[in-house]
Amino acid sequence: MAIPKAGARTAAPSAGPGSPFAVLEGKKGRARILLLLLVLLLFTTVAAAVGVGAVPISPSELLRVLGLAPGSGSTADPVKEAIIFQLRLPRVVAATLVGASLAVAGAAFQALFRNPMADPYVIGVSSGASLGATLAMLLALDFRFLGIGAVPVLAFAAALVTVVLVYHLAKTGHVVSTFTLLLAGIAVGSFLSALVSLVVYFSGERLHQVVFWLMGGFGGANWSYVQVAVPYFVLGAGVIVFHARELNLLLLGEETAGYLGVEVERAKKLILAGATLLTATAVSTGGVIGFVGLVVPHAVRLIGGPDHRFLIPASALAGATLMVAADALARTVLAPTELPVGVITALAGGPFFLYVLRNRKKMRFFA
Amino acid sequence: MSEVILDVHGIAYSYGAVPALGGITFQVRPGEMVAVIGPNGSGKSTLIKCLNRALRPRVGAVYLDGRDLWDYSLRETARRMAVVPQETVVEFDFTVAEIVLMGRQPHLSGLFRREGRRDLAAAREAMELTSTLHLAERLVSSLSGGERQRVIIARALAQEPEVLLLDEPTSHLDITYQVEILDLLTYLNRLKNISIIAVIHDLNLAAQYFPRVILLSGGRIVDVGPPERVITTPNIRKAYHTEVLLSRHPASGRLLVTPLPRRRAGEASGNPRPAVHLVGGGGTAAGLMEAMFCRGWKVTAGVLNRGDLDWEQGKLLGIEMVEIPPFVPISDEDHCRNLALVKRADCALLANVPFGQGNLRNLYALQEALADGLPVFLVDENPIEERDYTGGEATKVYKRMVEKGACLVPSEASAIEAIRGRFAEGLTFSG
Ligand SMILES: Nc1ncnc2c1ncn2[C@@H]1O[C@H](COP(=O)(O)OP(=O)(O)O)[C@@H](O)[C@H]1O
Ligand SMILES: [Mg+2]
Repeated sequence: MAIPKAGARTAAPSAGPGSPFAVLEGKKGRARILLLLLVLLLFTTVAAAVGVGAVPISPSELLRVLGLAPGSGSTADPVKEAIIFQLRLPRVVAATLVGASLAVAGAAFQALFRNPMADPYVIGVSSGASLGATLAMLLALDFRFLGIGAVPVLAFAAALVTVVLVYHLAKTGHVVSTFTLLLAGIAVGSFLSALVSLVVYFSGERLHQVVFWLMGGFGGANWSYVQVAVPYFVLGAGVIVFHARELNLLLLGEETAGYLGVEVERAKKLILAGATLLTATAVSTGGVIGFVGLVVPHAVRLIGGPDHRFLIPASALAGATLMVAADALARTVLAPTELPVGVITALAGGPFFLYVLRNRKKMRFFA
Repeated sequence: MSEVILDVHGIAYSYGAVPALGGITFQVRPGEMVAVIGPNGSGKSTLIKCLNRALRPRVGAVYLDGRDLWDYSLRETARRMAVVPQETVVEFDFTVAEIVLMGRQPHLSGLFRREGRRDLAAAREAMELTSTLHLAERLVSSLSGGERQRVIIARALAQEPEVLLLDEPTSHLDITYQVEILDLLTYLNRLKNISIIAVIHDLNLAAQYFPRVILLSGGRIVDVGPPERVITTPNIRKAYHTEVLLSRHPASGRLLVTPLPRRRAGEASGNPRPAVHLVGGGGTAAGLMEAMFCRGWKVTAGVLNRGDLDWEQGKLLGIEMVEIPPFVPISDEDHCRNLALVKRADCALLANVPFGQGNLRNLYALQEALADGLPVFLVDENPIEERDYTGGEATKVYKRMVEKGACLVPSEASAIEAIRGRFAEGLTFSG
């Protein structure tokens, strides 16, 4: 029998023009441009955020103080220098880290669970952290660890303990079904949330502090927060960035990912650990800030597609930008009163999420 | 490379306490195409999953190229074996090119695991082979079922596997795409010498495209071998608990499987189902055999030479026959066996068969049955004189039978009608 189409294979394969992968190259190029734009946007937002407040600081002043413009140092006003270095910059950098962490964790959880409603808090990180933090406040614990107060330390520890608990509840043999994980997370999460409510109920004159923490904010941020958060951020985000391909394949289903050579259980465990670390770091730094981790990955996906090699860094940049902007708004809208950042992100994120829901047909990412 | 690429050695699997697969042993040589057939729930998917490491057999082992499958890393397995799963999720915005490139995952190395020229070349070739090159930029979610299946096969090919496992690759497709996919698999098998093991729902397609089939039932192998040996009426009855009509396509000689309505349906409607003993030879009885079998009548057949067309048909249908070697006249013993069969029937039917010395005893047998009071029908399309090569003996016996009350019918169709009418009457009288 004559084999059909045999002649079609003579053309030398290449990624040059006319290749089926030319489009992918184009896509990659567009993704790079988009990432570059997001970087610029982040820097602009950071500059604006550092600039706004009771004492306005112009971009040129900022550059001069940072030693990035000619004539640096000599003309800098020491008061402004203190405001920039001691007050605004640590706060902005903390917001950047938290925003990036939440968005990256959200993207990872959405792919891991193949569920568009997944956010960084789905498996109970937030309730665990909240319980730790509120207990620390109620008991007026007062110790410092690496220059960090008791509240974030307890929040971080409780978040990790919660996830480990949920993970073991969901585990059967060597296998952790993401579906069971999700259910166990929801169950443990609501149980811990009830405990948090109980603590809030008994918090008496500390009520304001507790509620404010629960809604999230960067009022207490200083350089030691940033110093402690950076290694965790680098570790967590690094693990997820290096699993971008695996996240893509997991979207095809765990079974298919396995057929393509992915050690699924190991990849799931590492991604889960990375995302949990990011979320715990974010929550202990800025409290429970909602919507960023849910909405940002969706928005980025709508613009740039589902490829995690793009989605993860782009979400990090967009999440950071959004958080810096939200924090700037939170402290300036009703200045000198400071609003919780969580209120701002929820006000902006809620309507956006409704938009996403109504247009989910266009987002074929999920069923 | 060893002589056997896949050696399945006594594997068993249970879901919890429910056994789904037991004592499965078979081997696949490089470049073989094997179809796995069997009714729903017979363990076909479970078998495929035991071969692709989705499930680990509780007992036994699977050897890939002489090494235990579970000693390979998943990456190594994926470089040698590709899978086209039964269900494919496509609800995301990946393009065809991206999906096919994902097949290179097990080959990528280095810190960033970038695709090199070699990977792009392999993915491109896979798309060319599957005629999906023109779809490269399309979103997978926008493709038709057939196109999507070709893309999934392209992704599997991009893995450059030695073994390709497919679970019902054609079940969700209409007939055009089914044929397209199976043609593609055959082509890839010949071009690349890839061993293919596929679960195939449709027995006709399995018989047509696969030189070897494995028939499963209740988690066990009923039979393995070439389709004409495995897809037989008794095997199918055993595995599927259903009746099929097996025949050969007259021109191509290909096996054709036609499922028959459940016998109960015939019983319920009060149709008579007489037991008929058929005498034929040289293909004169094949049509009658099929027609009566389809009606659910119990058919037996009188002395036939092996290799004869009627004998072949009888074998396919799983009909009880008195059979003798080719070109051998009917012996006394065969004659007695034939008589025994006739006597168990409700009536006898003589096809429009020519008579020579070799088969004259078939006619005597009918004469004896008629004398014992059995209704005998004679298909008289051509006058007996034209079919008589015995020098008049056959004609003499035939004429005498007609005088004694044998019923002459002018055609095969009228024979069926006559028998039906006769036994329908019988029903009304007895009822
Ligand atoms: N995940 C599962 N859990 C429990 N039983 C299962 C599971 N998958 C299949 N089975 C059972 O195992 C048997 C074989 O199923 P399967 O291999 O899917 O058959 P087939 O593919 O031939 O239809 C069936 O009885 C089925 O009900
Ligand atoms: Mg199946």
